Amino acid sequence: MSTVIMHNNFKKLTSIINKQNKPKILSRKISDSVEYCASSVKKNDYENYICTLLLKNTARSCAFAVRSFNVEVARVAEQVSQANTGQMRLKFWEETIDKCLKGNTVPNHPVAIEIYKANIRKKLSKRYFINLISSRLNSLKLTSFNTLDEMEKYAEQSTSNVLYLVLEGSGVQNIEADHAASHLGKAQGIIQQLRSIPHAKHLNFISIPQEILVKNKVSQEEVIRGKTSERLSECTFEIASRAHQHLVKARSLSEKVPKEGKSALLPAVPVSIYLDRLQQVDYDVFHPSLKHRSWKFLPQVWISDFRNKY
Amino acid sequence: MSCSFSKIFSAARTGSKFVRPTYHPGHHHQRLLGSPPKDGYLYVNNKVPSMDFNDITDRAAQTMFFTELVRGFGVTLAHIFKEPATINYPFEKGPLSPRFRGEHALRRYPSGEERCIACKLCEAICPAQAITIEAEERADGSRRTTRYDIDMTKCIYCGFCQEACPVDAIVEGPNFEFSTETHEELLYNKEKLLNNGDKWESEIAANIHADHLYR
Repeated sequence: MSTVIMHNNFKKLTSIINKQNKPKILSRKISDSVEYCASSVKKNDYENYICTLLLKNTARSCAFAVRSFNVEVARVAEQVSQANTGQMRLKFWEETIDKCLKGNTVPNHPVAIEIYKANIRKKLSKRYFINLISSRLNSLKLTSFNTLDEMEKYAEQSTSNVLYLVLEGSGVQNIEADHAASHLGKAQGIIQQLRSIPHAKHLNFISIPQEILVKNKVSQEEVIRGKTSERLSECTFEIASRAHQHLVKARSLSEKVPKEGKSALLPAVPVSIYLDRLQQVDYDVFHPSLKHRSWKFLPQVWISDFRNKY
Repeated sequence: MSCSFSKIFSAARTGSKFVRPTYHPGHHHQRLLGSPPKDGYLYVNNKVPSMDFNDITDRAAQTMFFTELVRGFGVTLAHIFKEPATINYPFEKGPLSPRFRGEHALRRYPSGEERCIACKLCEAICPAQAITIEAEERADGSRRTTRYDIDMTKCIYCGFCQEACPVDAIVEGPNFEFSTETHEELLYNKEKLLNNGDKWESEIAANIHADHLYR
């Protein structure tokens, strides 16, 4: 699938690269790195993978580069047992981004190569990548958020920045689009935290802010043990309603977002599907039905893209 | 007369102390099996055997006669029909955690290219200093290792190398059967590690799999 995606664009790209003095690394078969990035996003971030597939050529390859980079840095925290090991890995990615955007010596990693190529096609801002890395770096030692605002800020840093980069890759330089992406990113990031609640023990991270836990008199132990209770549902409701506000805000801006920008903001669809399903099960995050993907997901994403909405 | 009367009266008073039944709330009636103890405590130690003559002879008879022996045979017979608790080891293997840290392996990309980019983070983090790396730039411009040695006799299997690797190149696979006869065979070089990777790739990839981003 991904080979086909990239093939149309392939000739154009090679001609661009040949004009510049190309680093020798790119002699590696180009489809390899593309395939690797696509499969890593598919494996680790399926919903965004589907939304990314619906983008147009250049935008799609940029989006896959950015999203696979996000997968790499997002998984660091769960792969390491000590914070300084994670710092080492993130430092590696920081240096890699630096090299990729300057374009002199790109490390031979498929994600790095894809970012390098994406940057040639469409200029990507370094600060968004740095934000992505620094948000993960700050959260390495964290075991929970203190307040809902703190959680929202983390969501903004770790998810909205991906959307900014995808928008940049689609060639959309529009303040309204960025504004919508900011709100959508917050919604998506918060949903991601809600989804990780059942995995709190495995991740060693309780994603419900302490302030809300205290207010509703829920102990951290209850969250770790996965006990369903009305008080916990209250907590979830409070967080989910914040995500909902951001989603509504992002959708209300859709009139002003240019056409290409709208397909970049397609992840709004899975977010709203998840919120609806959460409401159906009375905000019980441990409900088994939430573990499965909704059958509505694929058709709904496609229809939204077809009608150019998000 | 009055004196003797008072004596009888006092005898009756003291006597009534012995005769009057004492009330114990705990032993009021036999506690049913499975019901919670009334006073909150349950006597779990062995009961002192009763020393009635009848009971003593009963016990002696039980020891002398065959009941115990027959019951022993019964237990033996029952175990013939039970599922064995052991496994036939070299042919059957026990379950292994996906996080098990066994023999090291260097992985490749699906295209066949080796993953390692010689960043030397594993060498830096290894607490036992078991890893030695030498690197140089290849003709095609990529940075690769020329030497990647792990001294498996120094390694403490802490898994830090796999945690530190930013490209998931070095992993500790699920293999734990790599005993050798000589020390030298346990000094792994790059070729051996890459072979391990090729051999165990499917298991390693299955263990790394995750289906959602959570952070």
